Amino acid sequence: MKRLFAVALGILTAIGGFVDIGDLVTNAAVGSRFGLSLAWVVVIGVLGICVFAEMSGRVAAVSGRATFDLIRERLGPRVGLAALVGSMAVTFLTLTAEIGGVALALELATSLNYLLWVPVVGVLVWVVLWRVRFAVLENAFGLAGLALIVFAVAVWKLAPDWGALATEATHPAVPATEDATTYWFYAVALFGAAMTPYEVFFFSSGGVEEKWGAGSLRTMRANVFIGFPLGGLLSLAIAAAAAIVLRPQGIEVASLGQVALPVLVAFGKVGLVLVLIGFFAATFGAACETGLSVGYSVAQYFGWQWGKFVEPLRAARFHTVVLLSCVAGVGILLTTVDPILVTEYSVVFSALALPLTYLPILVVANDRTYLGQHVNGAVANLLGTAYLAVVVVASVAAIPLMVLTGAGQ
Amino acid sequence: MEGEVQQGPSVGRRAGAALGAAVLLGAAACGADPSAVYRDSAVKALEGSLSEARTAELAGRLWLTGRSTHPLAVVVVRDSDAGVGADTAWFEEQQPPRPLDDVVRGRTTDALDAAASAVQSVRIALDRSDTRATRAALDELRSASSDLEALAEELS
Repeated sequence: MKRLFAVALGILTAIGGFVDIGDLVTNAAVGSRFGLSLAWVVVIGVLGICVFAEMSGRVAAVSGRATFDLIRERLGPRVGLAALVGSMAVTFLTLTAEIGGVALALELATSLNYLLWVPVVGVLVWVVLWRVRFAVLENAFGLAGLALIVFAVAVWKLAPDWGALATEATHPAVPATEDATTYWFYAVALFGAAMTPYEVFFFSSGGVEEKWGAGSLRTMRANVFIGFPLGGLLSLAIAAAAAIVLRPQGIEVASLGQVALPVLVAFGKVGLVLVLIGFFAATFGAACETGLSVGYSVAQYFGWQWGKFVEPLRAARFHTVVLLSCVAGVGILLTTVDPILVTEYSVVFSALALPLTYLPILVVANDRTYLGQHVNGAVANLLGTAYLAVVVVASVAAIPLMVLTGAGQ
Repeated sequence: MEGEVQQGPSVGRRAGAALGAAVLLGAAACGADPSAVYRDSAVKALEGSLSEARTAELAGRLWLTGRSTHPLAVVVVRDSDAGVGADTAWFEEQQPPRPLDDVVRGRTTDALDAAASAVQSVRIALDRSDTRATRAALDELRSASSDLEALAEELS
């Protein structure tokens, strides 16, 4: 019974913790412009993050060691450093976007300018990372993030033409009002939003924090293969809600407030309360995850003591990196750069940097020295290799598409 | 404070618009008809403003019917106001390539200004929680949105 509860809790937090500011904004923006014609990208992205997270979770559970520790040891310091710099830059950008997302959510609740909230959020994130236990942090925000299910219920309440939605999702085509380059730019952005590297660092480092062993593999796989796809359905629901309400009116999503409007149309103020709880939990939870992930990656690469399973004083350098990341993220946002713009760039750069972390994990997951009998099987390698190709194509296409389309404008 | 409120979103829009302008310039340099490129800029600005105007309209009506809180409506309309302003400013920076294009410039600027003014009226009325004024401003905004849509279709 206790084991079942642990599995159920893991799945629920995986669902609630799946969506972050990148998913919220990108899915709503895509839904409002392309309807469900890019739903296939979410499916590919979610399967990709499952493959990626399962491999790195398995590496963490079987070896008991963290991702960057193994990458540096297996592939050498130079490749390890390239992976570290690339992934850390993207994760830091994502942290900045998430802090901005929390501030925007608080602005929607209070109408106080988000810039006033940014320092408050930065301090709150740091205090939570410093004081709150890992399990509490993971479960509390993951469960509160389930409030975003209101988007799925709103889609049902809005009573759309299900046949038309299904046809659009299953027969993808570039809408007449958009050009192909913009369509593919958003495909890459959506892929980057679904396959953010920090989710994998957080997931696998969390496994080490929670002392996973080979016996934890089933629970880990249940979280990944049930929790993540259900989280992906939430992403699709956000896109569908925007497609139903905003697209017919010619509204293109460019702010967090616009993302909430379809739920207000369906449920009014009750829906708004749930949306705001969901926005706050999703962005605050992701801010904590990205803040920790920056600290994890740096500390693991340099071999410092890391994690929340030890007293902060014994992992002083790890906590210093986390603190400096929060301060730097707040500093960037206080320059008045638009948090939504930071979000849009973070998802595109996620796609760009993905091969730097994906390839090393694929290599380590095939190494018997670390994984023994738990190395990749035929299916894992087939999917792993197929996704390597997808990840490389998305990475190569990301910047040219961004320039050609004026970042999707 | 008000100036700061509008600064964030417009910074983002300007960055995207700058990239977009670079692409349009590139298209012009590659031999595309300059007047067609200018018309495309007009359509882009009109469609961007239409999106913001419709957003403000939806947020305002949701508040009037009790389906939204006042803070959310205020924030959404404030963002829309900043968005329309940024679109208008961006279009005004574009150079009409030929004297003939001044007609497009004039009509587009008029439509954008009318929409900007209507969104501002909604924002002011909402800030004051004045339901009557909000309703009147929303009617004005609906008319301005229709004009934006019609002109965008005509120029496309």
